Amino acid sequence: MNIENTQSQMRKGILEFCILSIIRRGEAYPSDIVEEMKAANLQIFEGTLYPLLTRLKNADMLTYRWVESNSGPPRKYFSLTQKGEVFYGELEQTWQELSNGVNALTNRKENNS
Amino acid sequence: MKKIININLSGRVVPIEDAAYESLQRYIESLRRYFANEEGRDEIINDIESRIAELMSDKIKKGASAITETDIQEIILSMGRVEDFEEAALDQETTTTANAAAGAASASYSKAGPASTGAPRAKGRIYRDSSDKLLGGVCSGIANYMNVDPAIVRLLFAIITFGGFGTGIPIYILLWIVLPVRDLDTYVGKRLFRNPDDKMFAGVAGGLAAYFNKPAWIVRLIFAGPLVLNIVFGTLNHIVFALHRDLFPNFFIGSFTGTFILIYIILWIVLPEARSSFEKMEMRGEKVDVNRIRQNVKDEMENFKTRAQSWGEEVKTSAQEFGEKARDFANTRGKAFAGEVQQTARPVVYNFLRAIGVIIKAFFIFVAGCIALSLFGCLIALIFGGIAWSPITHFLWTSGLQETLAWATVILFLGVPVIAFITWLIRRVVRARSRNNQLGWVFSGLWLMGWICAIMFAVSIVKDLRSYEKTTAIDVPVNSSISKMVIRVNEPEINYSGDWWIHNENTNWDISDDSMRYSNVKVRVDKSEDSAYHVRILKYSFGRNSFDAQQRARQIRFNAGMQDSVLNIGSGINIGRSSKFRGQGLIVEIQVPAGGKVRIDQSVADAYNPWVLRTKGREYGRFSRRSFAMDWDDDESFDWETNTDYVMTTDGKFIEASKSEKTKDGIFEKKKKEETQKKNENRKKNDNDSTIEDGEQVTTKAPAPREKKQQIAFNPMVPLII
Repeated sequence: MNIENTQSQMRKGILEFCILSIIRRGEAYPSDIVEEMKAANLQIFEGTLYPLLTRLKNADMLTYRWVESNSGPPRKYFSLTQKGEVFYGELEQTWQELSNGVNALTNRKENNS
Repeated sequence: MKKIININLSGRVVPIEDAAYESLQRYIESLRRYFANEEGRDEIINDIESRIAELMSDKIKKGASAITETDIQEIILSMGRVEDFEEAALDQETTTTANAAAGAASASYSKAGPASTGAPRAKGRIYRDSSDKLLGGVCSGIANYMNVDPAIVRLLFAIITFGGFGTGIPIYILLWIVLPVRDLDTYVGKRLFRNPDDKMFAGVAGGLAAYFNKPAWIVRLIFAGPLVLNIVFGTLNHIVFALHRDLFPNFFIGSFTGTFILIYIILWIVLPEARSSFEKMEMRGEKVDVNRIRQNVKDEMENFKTRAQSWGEEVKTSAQEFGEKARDFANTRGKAFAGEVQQTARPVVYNFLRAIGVIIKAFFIFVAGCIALSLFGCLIALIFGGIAWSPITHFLWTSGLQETLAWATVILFLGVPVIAFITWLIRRVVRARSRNNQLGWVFSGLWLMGWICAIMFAVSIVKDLRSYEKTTAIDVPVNSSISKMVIRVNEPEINYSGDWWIHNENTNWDISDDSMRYSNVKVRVDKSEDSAYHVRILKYSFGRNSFDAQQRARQIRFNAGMQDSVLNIGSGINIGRSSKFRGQGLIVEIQVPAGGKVRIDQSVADAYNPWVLRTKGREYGRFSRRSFAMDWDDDESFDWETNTDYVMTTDGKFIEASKSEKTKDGIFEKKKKEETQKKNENRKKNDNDSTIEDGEQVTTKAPAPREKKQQIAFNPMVPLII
């Protein structure tokens, strides 16, 4: 159970970044996002996604528009705002630093052992 | 047979089995509970419902006639169960309200839901909490064990320490040494904080108000109530003497004042300030999902493994032999304790100094407040006095300039700081931000003018009092045949006869529209140069110059006259309106020959205050002009009793007759050992009225004085108005 805790912590950290990168590529609506994450082997629950999207929207990182669909209720399509772009840029930088650092560390360890 | 109902979900009508509908309802309910305090909760729920509706629509399109229980379960799985939601990021470490919500939610709709994860609070052992410590984390450790707000435990400790003469301190130190330290989870729930957003002094009242969900002014009123009542009753006591016995209410309330102030200070020290929004939510008791807004990074990074290790080491240590354990105890714990003390000492000392600084600041504010209050009181008194005291004002100001100056002083000097202070106070309470500092400059300028006025006023008054003069002595004719004089006051005691609301009992002064009376009279007793009694009246007054002073002195009215052997004097001096009050005084100087007796009647004691009777004191050389009042003060006070005879001795001292004696040589002095003989001698001497050869020391010589004084026309019935 505790390992799950750590794992969940790790995932939690990069969730926002991933979702923002998906939306950055183009307008997306929540179902799509879930599908893409699943495809990238980073499965996420809708119940986790929706609050996150709402929070980002309230922080002016995302904006959305309603699109009528014939096969269901109208959908929200999310896209990145200017502020969101900036935010994403910084997150990307952080991710770069993190991943480089972690990789360097783990590789070195393997070499030594 | 299954019941099918139609529901409207996000604007879509969907047919659904009854049982499935109930599952769906429970799920949505659990979502609602889970997102109870999430920002934009409604939006999220709507989005989720939309998504569910979409999924259900898909199924219907694919050919299902109604949504079944299986479908619902599938949908729930794909949406995710509440406890799987990562946003909650169920941190396994704590029991939180969110956890409880998740647990309840999961229990309600899915029987196979995972058990709600319990928090690894070290059950069964008390630790010291190193993540929430004021000094050593003792109180928060205990609080963690008992699952209460640490502030409550701290408060209890503070009360025990203060109330039990420091009992809490050794207990605390003992616990500090004995309890091992752990990084525990702080208590989560409705905690008592100090509210930094709503503070007058330290936010204690604001924090309490937020906790109990009452408006802050009520709490402040409770705290300040006893103090204010005390002040109010204190001033009332002074004005209205109805409450002579001061036990209740002032004494009773006073004890509350002290206690409340102490409680405030304790709470100030003990309660933490709610800085983060997380803490603020805790303060209000709003349900908090700790893990999202958690401040303590340490808890998130803490690895259970290392914690278990350190705990294992502790177990190992305590499992060793007693001697070794004691040694280890001394080494590790003792050192750790000392180290910790040192570590905490600095912040503790810093906090302590800060606390002292704050106390000093509070004290200064308090003192400033008192000063302002007293100035205010002066102002009120003067304003009211000015209106009602019109009789007195006639006696005070010699010129119009003075009067204007006086009023200007009152308004500017006293009034301005009071107004400024009240303005500042109101602003502080209302939290108005001052837009400019001009108000401060204006007030300072006015106050400076007030200072100038005050100084000018003082100067003008002093000028008026520069000279202190007395009139020439006026003699009161005395019947020369007396051998004993009785001093009596034959006028009624002076008491205020107007219609003010002052209830002083012994005012000894009176004022009316055209005259003012008060009892600034001294009776001085001196040895007569000849063998007769003399009575002189000397009047004194201040004035602008010596002529002015004498003028004023002459205007004093006083009644004195002899009636047989009784000297009747008035109960006070009378000053006319035109002569103004300028410290006038009067001396009745009685010269008593050696062996002459004086008796003071009870009426004198009633009319005058006790220091009235004086004997002539040291002889000042008339050369020293330093003190203008030397004549007035040129005497010694005299401890006298009424209705006893006093005798003037030959060397100028005035003693009780029973203690004095007349020696062979006719010397009157203090009694010596051989009493009876001297007494007999005394009586004989007096009866015989004999004279003694020695020049100065002379008894009352009957014939000579009688001859002299007979010539004065003397009507005992008419009081001499001088």
